[in-house]
Amino acid sequence: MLPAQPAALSLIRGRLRQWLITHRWPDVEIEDLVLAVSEAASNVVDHAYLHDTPGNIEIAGRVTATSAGVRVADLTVRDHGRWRPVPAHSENRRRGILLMKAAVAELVIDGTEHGTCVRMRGRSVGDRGD
Amino acid sequence: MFATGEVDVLTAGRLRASVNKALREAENRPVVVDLTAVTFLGSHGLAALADAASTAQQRRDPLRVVVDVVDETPAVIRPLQITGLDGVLSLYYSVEEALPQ
Repeated sequence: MLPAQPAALSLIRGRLRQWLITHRWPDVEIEDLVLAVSEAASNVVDHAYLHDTPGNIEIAGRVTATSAGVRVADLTVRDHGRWRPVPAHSENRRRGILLMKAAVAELVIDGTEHGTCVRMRGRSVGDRGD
Repeated sequence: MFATGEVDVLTAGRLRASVNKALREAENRPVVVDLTAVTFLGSHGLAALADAASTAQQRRDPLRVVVDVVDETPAVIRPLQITGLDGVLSLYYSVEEALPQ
């Protein structure tokens, strides 16, 4: 858990990268997951706490073995601010969501009055980091 | 000019300011932006590049962006490809190639 401030994003990327390296994740997939999580967290910094007291970004990750020799990484980025629909003029946010969609296999953005939860599942990888 | 490290919400403003300054001083000479040492490029950095490209087009100053060969810097080329900016920016694979003869 980190405060939703611009400086937190670099820390988030560094920790996620390290965590995935520990799990022997392939480099290309690491870059894509780091991009997706960074964009989700960047949205929190930009939008979630706009008119409220700045809150936290919660990031959770889990690696699961789905079948023989296949693993997936599930990542969630959660805030307790207010969900805002994508404004038509926000080219930045549109690009952010485009990046997230392209970088992961599954993306679910669940926005409520009490916060937003972005659930991402990366593309499956082999159990030996291939 | 060249950029290094991570270009995100915290640092994209610096890239934007540097490119704009270079474009103002260019006087119709090409402006070369070297991204080969960039390790992360997020939507804020992409926005800075897209805006710079449209400013350059209005001023008719060529803006040339240098990236490493595709496999070397997925952190830069991937976000450009996903958002289609690789088709908008003039990409080069070395500073030498991008500099006017």
